Amino acid sequence: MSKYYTFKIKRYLPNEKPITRWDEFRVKLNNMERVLDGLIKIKETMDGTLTFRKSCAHGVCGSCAMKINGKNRLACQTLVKDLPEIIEIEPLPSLPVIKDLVVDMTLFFQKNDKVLPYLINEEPPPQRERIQSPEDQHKILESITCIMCGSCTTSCPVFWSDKEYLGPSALLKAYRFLFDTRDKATEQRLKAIAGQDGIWRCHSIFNCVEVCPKEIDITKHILKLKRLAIKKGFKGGQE
Amino acid sequence: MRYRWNVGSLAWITHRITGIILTFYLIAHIFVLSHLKDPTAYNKIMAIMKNPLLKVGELILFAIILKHVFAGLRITLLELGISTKYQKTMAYIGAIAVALLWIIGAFYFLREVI
Repeated sequence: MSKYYTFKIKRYLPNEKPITRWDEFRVKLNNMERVLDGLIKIKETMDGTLTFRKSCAHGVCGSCAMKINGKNRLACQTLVKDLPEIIEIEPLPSLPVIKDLVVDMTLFFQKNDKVLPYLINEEPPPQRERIQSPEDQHKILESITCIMCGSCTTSCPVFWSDKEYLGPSALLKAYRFLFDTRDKATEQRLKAIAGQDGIWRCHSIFNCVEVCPKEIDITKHILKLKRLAIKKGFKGGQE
Repeated sequence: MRYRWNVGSLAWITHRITGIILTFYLIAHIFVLSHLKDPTAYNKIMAIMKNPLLKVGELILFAIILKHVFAGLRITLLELGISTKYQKTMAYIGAIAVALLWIIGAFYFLREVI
C-alpha cells in the first residue's frame, strides 16, 4: 500500500536569497519506507540540491538525526506510516546549520572530548586484555549503546539556552567510563563533570530520553552520576 | 523554534514558571506584612484584601503553590533514586493531587468568604 506524503523541508542555502525557506515535495511512499527513503527520492528525482547526511541507513551510524515533526529522530528509523501526511523536516535545533539539514557538530564533539572519553588505568596491562565480568559489563551496557547522533543534546532546553552545558550525550559518555570497573580515574572524571556546566545543570526534563533512537534512559544515568558525586562529596572525596 | 512538548518538559516549565511567580509573590507578601504596624494600618490593609479580585488571586496563588510543591516532590523523589520509569506516572499523580487539593481548598475558602 503506498500513499502520497508532503515533505515540508526547511532549506538553508547560504549562497541564495532568502537564505532560509520552506520547500514542499510530494512523494509516493509505501508503508514500509522511512523518512530517509523519501529524502533520497526527493534528492534523486526532484531536487538534487537538497543536502542531508546519511550513511548506514540502519540506525547504527547516527548520521541522519534531524527534527521530524517537531521531534529529533533518525530519518532512517522513522517509518512514514507512523507520521501524518504532512512531514515537516528541520535540521537539529540549536547547532549552526551548514546547508539544509546538515549541521555543524563540532561543538557537540567538543563536549564529548571534555569528559575524557577513553579508558584511564595506570596499572600495567595484563598479558592479554583487561578482563571485565559479565555483571560489570551489564552496569554500563545501556550507556555503551549510544551512537552519538546528537539527538539528545540538541533536544535539551538547557543546551538551547547555554552552549557551555556539557549536555546529555557527553554526560552519558562520562557515566560509561565512571561506572566501568576497569577505569581508575574517578576523581579526574568527577572533576570534569561536576563543575557549573556539568551534571548540576540537568533539570530532569526528559527531552533527551524521549528522543533517543537507542531508547537509552539518559536522565537515569545523569541522576546516578549526581548521586555518585554527592556520595563522594560527603565522604571528602574518599571511596 | 517549535519543539514538541512532552510530560517531562511540561512538568519542568510549569515548575519554573510557578517558582518565578512565587518568588515575586513572596517579596510582595513581605512588603505588605512590613506595613502591619498598628491596628489602623491592619484594618486598612484587611479592607483592601476583601476585594473580590484579590480573592480570585488567592485561589490562583493556591493552585500555583500546590503545583510547585508537587513538581518539587517529583524531582526530589527522582534525585533520591525512585526509578525514572515512574517519572510520567508521578507527574500524572501530582496533577491529580493538585486538582483534588485545590477543589477541597477552594470549597472551604469560598465557604468562608461568601
